[in-house]
Amino acid sequence: MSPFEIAWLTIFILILFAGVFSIIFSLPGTILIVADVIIYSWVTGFEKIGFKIIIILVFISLLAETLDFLLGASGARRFGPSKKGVIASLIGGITGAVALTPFLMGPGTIIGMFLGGFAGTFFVEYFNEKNLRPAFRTGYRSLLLRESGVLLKGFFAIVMTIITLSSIYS
Amino acid sequence: MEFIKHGIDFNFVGKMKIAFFISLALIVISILSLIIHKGPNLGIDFAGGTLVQIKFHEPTTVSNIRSPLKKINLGNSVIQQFGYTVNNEFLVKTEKSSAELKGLSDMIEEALATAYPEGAFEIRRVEVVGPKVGADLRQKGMLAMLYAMIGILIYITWRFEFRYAVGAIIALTHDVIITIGIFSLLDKEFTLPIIAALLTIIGYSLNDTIVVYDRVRENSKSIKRQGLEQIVNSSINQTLSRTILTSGTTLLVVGALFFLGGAVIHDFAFALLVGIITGTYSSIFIASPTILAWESIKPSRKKRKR
Repeated sequence: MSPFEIAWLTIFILILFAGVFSIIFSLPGTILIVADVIIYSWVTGFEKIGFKIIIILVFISLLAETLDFLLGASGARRFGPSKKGVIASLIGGITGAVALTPFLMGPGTIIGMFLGGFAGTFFVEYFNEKNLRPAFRTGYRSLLLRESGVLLKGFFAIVMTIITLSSIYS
Repeated sequence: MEFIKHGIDFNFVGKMKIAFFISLALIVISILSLIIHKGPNLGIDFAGGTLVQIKFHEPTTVSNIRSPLKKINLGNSVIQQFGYTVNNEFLVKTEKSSAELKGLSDMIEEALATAYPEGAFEIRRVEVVGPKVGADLRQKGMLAMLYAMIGILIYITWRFEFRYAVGAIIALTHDVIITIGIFSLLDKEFTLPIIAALLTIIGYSLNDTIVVYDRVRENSKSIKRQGLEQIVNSSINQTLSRTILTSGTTLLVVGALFFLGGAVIHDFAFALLVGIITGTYSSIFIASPTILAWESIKPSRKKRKR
């Protein structure tokens, strides 16, 4: 593998990770993952990742986004985390990745990054919410549904990432 | 969108016992099938095998290659286009072991020679491929599943109650065991996409279960006059429209993949078809009644005032 190829592969994997991480902020990260994979396999001539994997990923992505939308649709949705939330998610993500990697190797890095980041933002948002006057609170139920949506979509995104990476490294 | 008229009231909780026996029977059959077949039929992704790369000089299709190869009985094999279409290169992956490596490429060459004219193809490379998912990763994967289950248990216990978490875990395990069981019964191969399908089923079933649970919790707060049994039943009925719409549209997509998606995606779609049906069924008939069963064994501390 030439240094040029290694650089491209690194960017590809980083975008995959960014896709998983962006889900913490209620963004459609699975679509980013699918787009990243399609571009990668197109560039590499569908050798490592064939149409089969692409169809599977597109399906999981559509399912994840639809389920997340349906879960969130019933409660008020708040977009955009606070600045504190972003910082907490970054710290949490790095801590989680470092903590889980020795246990589960590759998958551990992704799972740890996601769970750590999620925990980080969650606590910041949770305490922010507590400090607000009751009238401004998003409400317990909608917070809970949003969280469940994020966790579920994160789960799907992690599955997608692991399938992709194990197809490349075979 | 109201798919089912408001105020409809099916007695789901009353059918709980029948559902329990159906599920138990399916699980027993699944486990028996796994024992008889000596575990799941692991594909090349898990077991490893041999890879043969063939270049054709004229355009051809996967099914054209498959039919002559069927005669020499390669066992479970995967034939796929390799690289760009214009190159006419194909990969044949079989689970045959490396000991027969040389013989295997000759066998493939002979079999293809019966269907293609001489010089129409050449074998570019023959090599042993290791499993994509080795024993180590498999073990770690099982551990990851276990951790995920514990994580779900903790999360749902924290957000709902412990008995809800138990119900969700039982429902998930139920779906996965039945899907694996049906795959084992039909002697279908386990490959990486099937694992993806199983994980997708877990996510889907969990989503379905949480929707019903959320309604149960909300109702048990606002309606104090009724017993838990009635609350669970009406919660299932209230979310029924949504459940049917979600599973219906998902099944439509999976059905299209299954019937029209072609051989490549067939097993993946099949696993999802089974999983989504059992997933929907389990969130209604397994996950929610578990809360009730738990309640009858061990009533919750905050005994509801009538």
